[in-house]
Amino acid sequence: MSASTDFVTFYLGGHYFGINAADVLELNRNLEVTPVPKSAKTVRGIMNLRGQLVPAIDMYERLNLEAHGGKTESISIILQCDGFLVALLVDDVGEILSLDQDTFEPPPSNFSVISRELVLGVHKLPDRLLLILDPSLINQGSDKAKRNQLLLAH
Amino acid sequence: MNDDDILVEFIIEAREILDQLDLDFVQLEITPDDKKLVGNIFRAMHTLKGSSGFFAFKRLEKVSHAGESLLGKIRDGQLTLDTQKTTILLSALDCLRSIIEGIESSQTEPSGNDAALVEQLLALAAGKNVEIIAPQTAAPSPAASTLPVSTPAPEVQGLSVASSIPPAAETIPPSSQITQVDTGESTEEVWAPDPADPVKNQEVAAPVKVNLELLDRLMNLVSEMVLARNRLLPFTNQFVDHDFSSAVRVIDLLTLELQERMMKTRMQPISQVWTKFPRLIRDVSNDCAKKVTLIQEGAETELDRTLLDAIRDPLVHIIRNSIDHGIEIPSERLNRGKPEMGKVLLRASHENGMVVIEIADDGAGVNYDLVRQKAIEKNLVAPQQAMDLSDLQLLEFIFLPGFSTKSQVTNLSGRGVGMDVVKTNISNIGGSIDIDSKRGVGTTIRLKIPLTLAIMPALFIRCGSEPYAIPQSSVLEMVRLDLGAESTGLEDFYGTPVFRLRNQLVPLLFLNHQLDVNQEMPASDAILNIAILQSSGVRFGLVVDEVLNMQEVVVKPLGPLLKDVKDFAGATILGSGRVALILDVDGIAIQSGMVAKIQSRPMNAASTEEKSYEEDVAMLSFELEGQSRLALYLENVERLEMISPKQVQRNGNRDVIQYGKDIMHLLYLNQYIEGAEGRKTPKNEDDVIPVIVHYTNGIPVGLVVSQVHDIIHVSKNLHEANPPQKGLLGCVSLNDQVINVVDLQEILMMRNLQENSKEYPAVIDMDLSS
Repeated sequence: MSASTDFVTFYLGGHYFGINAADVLELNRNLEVTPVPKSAKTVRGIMNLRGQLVPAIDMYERLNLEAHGGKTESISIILQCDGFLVALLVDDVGEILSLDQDTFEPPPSNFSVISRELVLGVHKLPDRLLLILDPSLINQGSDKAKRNQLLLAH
Repeated sequence: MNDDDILVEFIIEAREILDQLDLDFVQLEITPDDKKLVGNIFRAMHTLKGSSGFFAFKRLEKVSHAGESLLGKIRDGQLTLDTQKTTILLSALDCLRSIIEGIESSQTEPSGNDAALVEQLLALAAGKNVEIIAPQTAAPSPAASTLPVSTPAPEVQGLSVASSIPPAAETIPPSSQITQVDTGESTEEVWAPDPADPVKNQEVAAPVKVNLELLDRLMNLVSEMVLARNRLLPFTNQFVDHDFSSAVRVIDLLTLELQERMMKTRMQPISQVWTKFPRLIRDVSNDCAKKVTLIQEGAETELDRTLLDAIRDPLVHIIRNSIDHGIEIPSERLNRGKPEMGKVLLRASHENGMVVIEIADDGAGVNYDLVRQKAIEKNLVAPQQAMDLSDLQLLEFIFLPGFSTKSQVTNLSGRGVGMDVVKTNISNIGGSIDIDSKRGVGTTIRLKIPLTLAIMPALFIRCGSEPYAIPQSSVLEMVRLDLGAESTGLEDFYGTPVFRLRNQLVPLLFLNHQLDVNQEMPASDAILNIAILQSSGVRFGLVVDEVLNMQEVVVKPLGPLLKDVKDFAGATILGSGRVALILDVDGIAIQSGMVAKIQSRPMNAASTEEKSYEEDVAMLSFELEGQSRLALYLENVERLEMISPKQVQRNGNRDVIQYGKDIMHLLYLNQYIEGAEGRKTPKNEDDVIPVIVHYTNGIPVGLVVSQVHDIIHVSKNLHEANPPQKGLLGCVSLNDQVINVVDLQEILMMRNLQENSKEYPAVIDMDLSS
């Protein structure tokens, strides 16, 4: 048996995602987000986590998901990545799953719905698929996207 | 700060440097190619040498100088570090440490002979091979050679991160890290420096250095505490439990005090760093045989303590450079027609949410030709290209490591460490550095330190549904502009909306457009709220939806994800726990393209502006019952306040109100001015009384008027009232209207006479009876 890893799971636009629990600092409900005008689309705004400013990532934008019936994310997952805190806005959180490496597969090649660079791979669960996200790319990626935007603008 | 304090600080600093050097050397042997590390070690040694020079600790100076020479060669790549060199450098380090310990116990340098050690160091520096003889003065031969070079232990890997942080930027608990090395490697006991030794700590009553992160964390916790307190307070109204209320009250007071103290721990006047400088200047100028005076301005400017620590070394370097390189020797100064005594000016101020520190000297300025020549010599630029370089481009070379125009290496400078260290240190705290130098006139260095941690007053405004803060330092005034009224409409100046403010055109920016919040344009009869802002030499009006309040804010950086949004300088957390963004006035002005536009087409010819300054005088216009056009010199006005009749209290025979910490007397102007009628008593309690606050001998006096109008600029030529009128100086004309200028001195005198004679004039009695 290979070593198992804990994943925090969450729901977003009907998809089921997981993120390594070691990167997750905490979960928060209904933190108020202050929009930052002119920021990248992927950044919804900033919020106050006990005196610290934390950027809130719009996961629908980040993952290029279509929001059916409006965005109603009410839970933020606070991640510590590259020494900075970020908050992922998600619809709902699920259980914490302890999964073995056995069920893990690289992302299928026909994965068009979701920004593939972010998905490390897929865990095949008995009833559904769990998409594992790469936390470090969530931060970098939006930065890169932003830079591209700036390049285009000039 | 006296010399003893300076010595104590020196010892603390030297200890820190030595501890850090120990770590760095061990790391360096594992990664001998780490140029940055060699640079760090070299600089640390350089600092130690420089400081010991001031105290005339000759042994210390000689050993560190020799060590530095060897390290310099290693840094430049002329020599490579091997075990032999490490060993000898480490024994130099031990020697330094034992000297420092001697100084600490006896206040003077212990005697001893380091000639052998110095000789070995210099011989190695010269590229010779030497037999290592265990130096007599140093501690037992260090065990550097026993260190496993090829197998770095994980602990040591972790160290590389720590050692790349310059000592000034962060306090590193050295003892714990050393312990890690000790357990990981079979190093001898001698290696562990022991700052925790209680006996030693008693000798030098070291101030407790608190880890930066811990302080930040505490700060955040205190802010949280305040918010939690705010949520608790409303409950005292809901429950009429006396014990509960008093418990909450205690928590309230404690939180308040905690918050104030916390703020205070962080803010310290810059004079703390500056107190060292008169001595420094004296010593350095003596060494160079120059005459220099130091002028300090703005020594009370408060800076976050972490920033203070970080600017200390850069400032020392810059000042040393100013004297050594900048100021000429007295005879040369006289030849050039300058006063014999050179000047170094230190000026600190808050500017646009930054702390600006200027170090200006009236010396020879940067020798651009020499810089060009050195740049060519060091192969930094091709000779042909060098000729085309502008002065500004040449100044860039000064910041390169190892660049020095001094041909002779001295105790003070000339090794080419200095400006690159300064730049590294300043950019480590997110600051910037500018040099401006004119041949023969002098050099000005401007350090801009961000207020990332500092507190500043800010004006809150609303745009769309969100509040934003504008640093108060950039707000000149607030204007309400009624577009419906005649002669005040918006005009168009080459595509930029402008309006007239006291006969000057002021360009307008709409904040909602600027921030892409919405694209609404104000209706043609709307009333605009305009904040007149000053940025990078451009004055402009920012149209906002609503003006809220003034509040002190703690600026927090937006973090890497949002740093590209140039419109914001940071964010702050409001009392409610919400985040509010702080506008970057410079950023907005530049982003909007307005700065470029205005610079290409000046709106108000500069000459007329200067003229207006000379001949005009600013007054505040207001009215009283029966006297609709009165004015008061603006310099007499401290603030404008609206007070409620409920606040007014009787104190003996006068009306007073509580004003901040002071008690402010109210002075009803209509009683002193000819032609004014008695004041109407406010009919209901919701009315407000406009009061002009004037300070006389540091005591506030509230001048009660019926309405305040505007700031007007009128000609200085006053038509004197003839025959004299009570309470009036004379009159001026503005747009065909005659405006009476109030004689405040006379009025204050009249009031004092009344107070002294204890007689109450009939007018006042009348007023009271109503």
